Amino acid sequence: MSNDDPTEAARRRDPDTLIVTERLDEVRRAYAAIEGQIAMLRSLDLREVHPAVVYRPLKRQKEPS
Amino acid sequence: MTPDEALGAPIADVAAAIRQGRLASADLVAQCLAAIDARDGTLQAFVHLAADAHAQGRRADEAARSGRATGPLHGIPIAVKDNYLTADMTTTAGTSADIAFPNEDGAAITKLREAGAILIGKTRMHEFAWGMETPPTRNPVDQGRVPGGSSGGSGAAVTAGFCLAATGSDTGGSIRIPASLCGNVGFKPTFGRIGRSGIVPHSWSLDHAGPLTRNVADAALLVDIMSGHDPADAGSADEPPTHLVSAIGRGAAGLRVGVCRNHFFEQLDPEVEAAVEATIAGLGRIGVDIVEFAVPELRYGLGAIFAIELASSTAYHLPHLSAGHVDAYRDDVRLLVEMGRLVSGSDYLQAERYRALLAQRFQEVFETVDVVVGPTMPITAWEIGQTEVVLGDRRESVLETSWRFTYPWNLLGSPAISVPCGTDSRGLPIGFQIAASAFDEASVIRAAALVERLR
Repeated sequence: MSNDDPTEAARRRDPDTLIVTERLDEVRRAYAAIEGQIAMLRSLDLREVHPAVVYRPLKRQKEPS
Repeated sequence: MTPDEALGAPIADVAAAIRQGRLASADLVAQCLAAIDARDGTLQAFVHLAADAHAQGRRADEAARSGRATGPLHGIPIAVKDNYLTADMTTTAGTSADIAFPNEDGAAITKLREAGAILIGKTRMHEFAWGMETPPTRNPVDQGRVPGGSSGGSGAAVTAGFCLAATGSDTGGSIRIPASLCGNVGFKPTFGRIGRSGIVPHSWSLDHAGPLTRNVADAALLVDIMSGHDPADAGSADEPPTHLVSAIGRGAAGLRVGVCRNHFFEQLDPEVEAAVEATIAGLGRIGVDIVEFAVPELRYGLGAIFAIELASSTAYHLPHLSAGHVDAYRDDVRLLVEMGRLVSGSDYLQAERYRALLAQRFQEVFETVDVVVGPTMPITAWEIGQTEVVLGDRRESVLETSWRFTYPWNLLGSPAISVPCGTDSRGLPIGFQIAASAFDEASVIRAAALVERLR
């Protein structure tokens, strides 16, 4: 499809997912099995557990002279 | 030492023979290229061969003659997975989409070159490391079967004798799975242990670099060479290089071997189970302490790795998705990249919170054991084109089955190795997985060396 007109290609994409409109149902059907596993994870009460992702602010590299 | 003998010897011995003039690197390279010429038309492990491989071998021999050869990999042919950028060879990351990757070396490739390695070529991978089959590569043990993935070209190349070792990357099992299916050793050290600058990302917080080798000593040596802090990798650990070679001969006495009876022993082929149980029994006979335990929270792991891997991969591919490049991806990879758009932000963060919980549980486990062992995979190599497998009373996709025992160690970032422990009745290799606490690669290598000696 890389030869398509980019504007035309963009028009064919679902604006929320960026997935080509005619593929959206197929992608959602394929995702359903995975969605079941993620729903199970969603049911787990993690109380106060912090995500493994932690942001670390960066100090300035050089102190002002 | 003859080139034939070199293909069966530890790299340390082969490199010593080259340095001392007892083996010509050029002859060893010629032997590998002859094997590639003879078999790779069928196996299709390589996507690119270094045009100057012979010349590299001759230069290594000249350096040896003039006393300039000091590296631990001097004159050793190593194959490179095609998601490692290289200054002198094109990188594709397995895609035929119109995406250009820079011609430059990253940290791991720089270290391999500094150690004297001859980078003989680039190995085929499942596109963007998003799959377990690596088509059209075939398994050297049975050419009708898959080599695994995503480092399938590397797994096939090592087993076929096309090189003495190869690099791989592992996001959910992509080093250990081809090692298990092709019958060699695949080692993913701790997350951050080997710098990933110059490796095309798949999922930033899950991607690990590591080697596939013919034996445990080579795996230890390669990690010793490739490890160390990489300032250009945001996930790199500020740790010095490992010294794992010294862990190989530490023996069994006092080693505490954990066996997690839930998750890692569920729904597996009876022949795989028998080989793994026999190996555990063998470890018990030579004096390790066997400790059985369970971690019930593992049942949530599949949802977590899917949420993280899908969301992360799609974030990386977002410009390609927007530009329509993904339409040129393989169907299975395109589908996965598109599915990542359906993972919600809160589900992604729930997965990252679960990951922290699982790390706490295994921190407790590693207070009582040094390593955790079990099967690398529930099955042996499946036939090309096969999509499902029946295990017990359940039919499931081979792709879902293939990574079930490997992905928890990616969520945890722990070091994990696959080492051969036997074959099934069709002669297909069976892998034995050994994992340890973060940054305790020494215990993994110690236990893997014991398993290797049991055979």
